[in-house]
Amino acid sequence: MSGSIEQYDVAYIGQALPDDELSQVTIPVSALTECRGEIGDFTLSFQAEDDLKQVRASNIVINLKHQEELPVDCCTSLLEAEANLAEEEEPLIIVQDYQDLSAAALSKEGLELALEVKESNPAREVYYFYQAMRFMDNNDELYEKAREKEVIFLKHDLGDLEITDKGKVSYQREDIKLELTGELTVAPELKPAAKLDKLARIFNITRGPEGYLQVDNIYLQPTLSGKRGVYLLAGARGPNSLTYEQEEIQYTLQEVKRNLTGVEEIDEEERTVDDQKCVVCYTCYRLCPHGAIQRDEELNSMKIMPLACQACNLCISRCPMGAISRSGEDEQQPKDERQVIICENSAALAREKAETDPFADTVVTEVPCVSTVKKEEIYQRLANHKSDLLILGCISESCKHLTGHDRCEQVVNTAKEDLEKLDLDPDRVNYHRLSPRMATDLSAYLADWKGEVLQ
Amino acid sequence: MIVGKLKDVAEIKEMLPEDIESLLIIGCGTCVSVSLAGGEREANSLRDLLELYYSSQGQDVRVNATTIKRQCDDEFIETEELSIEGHDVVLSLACGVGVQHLGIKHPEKIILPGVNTTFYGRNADVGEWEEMCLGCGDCILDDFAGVCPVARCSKSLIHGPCGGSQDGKCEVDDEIDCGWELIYNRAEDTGQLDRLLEYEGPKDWSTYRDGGVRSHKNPEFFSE
Repeated sequence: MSGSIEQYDVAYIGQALPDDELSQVTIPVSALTECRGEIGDFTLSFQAEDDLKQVRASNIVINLKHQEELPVDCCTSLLEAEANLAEEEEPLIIVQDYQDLSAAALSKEGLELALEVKESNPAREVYYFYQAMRFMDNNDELYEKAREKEVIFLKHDLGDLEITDKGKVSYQREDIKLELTGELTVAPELKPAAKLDKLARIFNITRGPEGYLQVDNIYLQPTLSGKRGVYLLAGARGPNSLTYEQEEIQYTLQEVKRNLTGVEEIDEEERTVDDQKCVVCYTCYRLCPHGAIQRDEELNSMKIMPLACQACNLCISRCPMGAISRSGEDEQQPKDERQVIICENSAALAREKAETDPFADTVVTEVPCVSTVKKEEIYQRLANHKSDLLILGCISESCKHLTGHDRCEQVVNTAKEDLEKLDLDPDRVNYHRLSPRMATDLSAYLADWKGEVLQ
Repeated sequence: MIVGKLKDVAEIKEMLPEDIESLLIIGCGTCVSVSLAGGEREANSLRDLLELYYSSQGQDVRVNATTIKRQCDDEFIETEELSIEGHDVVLSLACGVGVQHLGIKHPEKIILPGVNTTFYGRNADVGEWEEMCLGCGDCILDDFAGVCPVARCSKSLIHGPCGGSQDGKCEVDDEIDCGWELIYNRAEDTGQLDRLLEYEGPKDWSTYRDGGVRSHKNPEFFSE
């Protein structure tokens, strides 16, 4: 390891972004071995020649190209196609959406290619196959211009168009039947960048179902990851990243610069791990949706990184040893008839929007995320109060803490099962999801719920 | 690591004496905490659930919970001696070792198991464990490319796979990987296929259960 560790504003994993104001370092994804620390002070370890090196960076941007897969052989990729401006006689065939719809950026590529060829050689036939024209920037102008230049646009649905291994194109739709050969350019299917599984492990970020590092969630748009200070672009972010490429780059650079002016902790509570109780089982590390936990090597205990922590309290409610506590926890203990627990990001906002307060005659406990709720708290509340318990979490893909709403539902479901096994009424605890916009639904749901259970 | 699974709460309720007046639940802060079965969280949750149950039955039962670092060592148990003596019944959330160790140290106390000790395993994913070792007492991993035929073949075959191996899966349950396919693949990956052709004699099972109840001493701690 070399002496003092150099500090940069931003570390790029993959391609760096052009910017003169930021000090930057670029680390190839294959060389990266570890990331510790949090926003403002990440330490990245990587292999450089035969040496293991480290750098410090305030922000991290993962900017990797999509992997591309061509749906047929004998064609060039639309993303790599260069207009052949020679006096070609064979037609140019552009296929924008062979099996699946392509991103709008590929429409733009296709239209520009068609126009360039037509402008240099008007006599050359250009066929453009598409399922749906996708509009961004000036795509509509390009489309109009291409029509004027007599590019032949042929719309198809699945099954209308077939391309053989030898590059012969057959098209049949209504009364049009075509058999074509020519210079064939097809839009590639975009796949997540290579080695994202490795990066997910290193940064402790959950991958979405398609394999990208950004999961579908409204709080992560446009380039945020679940981990504060780690930004995702291109093939690390998602299939639409090509379409919004410039906007996403601008947003990311702005965020990076804003972070450099200072980052605050998310709330005033202090969350601490009791190193004498922690058994280093890594449950908190694995569950934390924000990658905010790492092992303290000196104490051999897990620790919460205060700037990375987004205060969902999931680690506290799931720690098998009760080793994690927060300073405000005692104040939150139920002392009265608080039998409704609501998330501050959904039900609490819906409550504000309602014409009349749906909770007017109910004392509610507002939590930063319903994953705060411990299993033992559910039983305690049922034991201490005659009324039932209602927990209101967020709808899918709208949980600020990504998995918090699901984690709470898992706990509620196991509590219900256990109540049933002891012949206790499982319906005394209820879990319901709603969005901040659902003020009317909230009022209606509560009216039903109160009618049924509140005594 | 020893992996455990919290018993079904209905089973726990059934094993508790009907006329019970006080119950101490003791969590164990090592293996079963890591396998999310019997640590402080489970001990406290079970305490609150049983309290809810007894109050719903109109039964006055004092239920307490505590968690100690390890139930298989005297020194950790000693700190809870008075508490154990002060309750009618102890429900241990340790593995079978801890439950019995408590019984040895408290011969007149009813000590009940709240956890099923499932196997020695690895953590495969959050909340998921897989069996890796049977504790046979004579490790032969060096002969099988580091994959144990005793633990990871459902039939503990050590001379090759049975006829029930299909597409890498075991005939006992197609969710189970065929241990012998794993052995073969890893032997191939590590260039040790030849070793699988070497004849291995019958395994000496006397170090396992066939030799009776096992115990051993580390000679560094004993004089002749």
